[in-house]
Amino acid sequence: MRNVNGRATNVTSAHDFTDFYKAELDGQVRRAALLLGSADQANDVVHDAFTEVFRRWEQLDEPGPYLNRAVLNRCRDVARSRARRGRVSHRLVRTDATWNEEPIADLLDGLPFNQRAAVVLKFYVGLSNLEIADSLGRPPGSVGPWLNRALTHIRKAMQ
Amino acid sequence: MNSTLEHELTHYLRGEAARVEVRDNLELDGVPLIRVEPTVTGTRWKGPALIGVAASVVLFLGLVATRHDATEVSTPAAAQSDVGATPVSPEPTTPLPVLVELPDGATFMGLSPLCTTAIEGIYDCTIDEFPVGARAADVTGYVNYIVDDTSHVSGGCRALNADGTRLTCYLGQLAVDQDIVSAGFLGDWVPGPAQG
Repeated sequence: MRNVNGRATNVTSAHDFTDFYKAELDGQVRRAALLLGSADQANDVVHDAFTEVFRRWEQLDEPGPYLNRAVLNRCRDVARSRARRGRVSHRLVRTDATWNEEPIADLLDGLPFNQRAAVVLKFYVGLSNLEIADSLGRPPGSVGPWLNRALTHIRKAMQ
Repeated sequence: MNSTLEHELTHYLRGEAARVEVRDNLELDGVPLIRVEPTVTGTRWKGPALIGVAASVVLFLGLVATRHDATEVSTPAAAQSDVGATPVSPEPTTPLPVLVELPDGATFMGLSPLCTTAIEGIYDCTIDEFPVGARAADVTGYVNYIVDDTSHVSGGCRALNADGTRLTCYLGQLAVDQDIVSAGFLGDWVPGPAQG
């Protein structure tokens, strides 16, 4: 059965999407929260991306990479929007921060999006520089300098 | 690379990730599509402070019983995110609404809406786009019949929003009660999709 867009809307397809959603949701939101420093915005961004995937489900051969790219692009858009409005703290809500973690949060908040993304994808997700470049849609050679600048900035600030 | 700084960053990021509260319902145009059992971390533990031993045992057993249905995680990031998380709260399992088509292959103006149903015979549905031939500036309240896979009228749907992508569909007599189809029209053979 197909609708006006030629997209099959059958029960099996819906179940497949449900399984995909269940498998991807947790990791996507947590990663987006680290990229944005905001759990609320991360949930919004990820669910918006899932909606896009849902609408194109039958056309996507590999929904996982598409979702990854959609989430990262939206995170970048949010970061740009913040930059235009002026820097505002979007720190994750913390109730039990320890003294030595607060500086890291401040320092990550101060990084440009690409540098912050490189740090998160490197040290949280565990991606290689090549994988980070691919995820962000940027040249491979750009990741190393981003990481160096970010780590230098953090290291100096923590001394 | 400073291994201490690298370690601190990894530790910090994992800890932050573990505390993120994940919203677990997906909506399309305001209609719930999917809800999964919440993945609960330390910040969501809001249970009363004085839970007795017996209650704890019952809750723990409930958690064990439902754990296999919990949200699965496929990414390395998520797998790592459990590091440092406090034990999850054994909240009641939320039934997972399943997206279904209308019964008997029923179609609305040639389309197969994706629906959830909480009441027998009543379906909350979505379609990607309202049929072009029937599109107006605002189709809220627009009604039309549905036909089953033998082209017999089996009920009807009402548009809930301006672009017609959210529908409530009623089967059989319920559609008559909603003044979507007449009692005499219900069950009639209607070749071809309904026309707007």
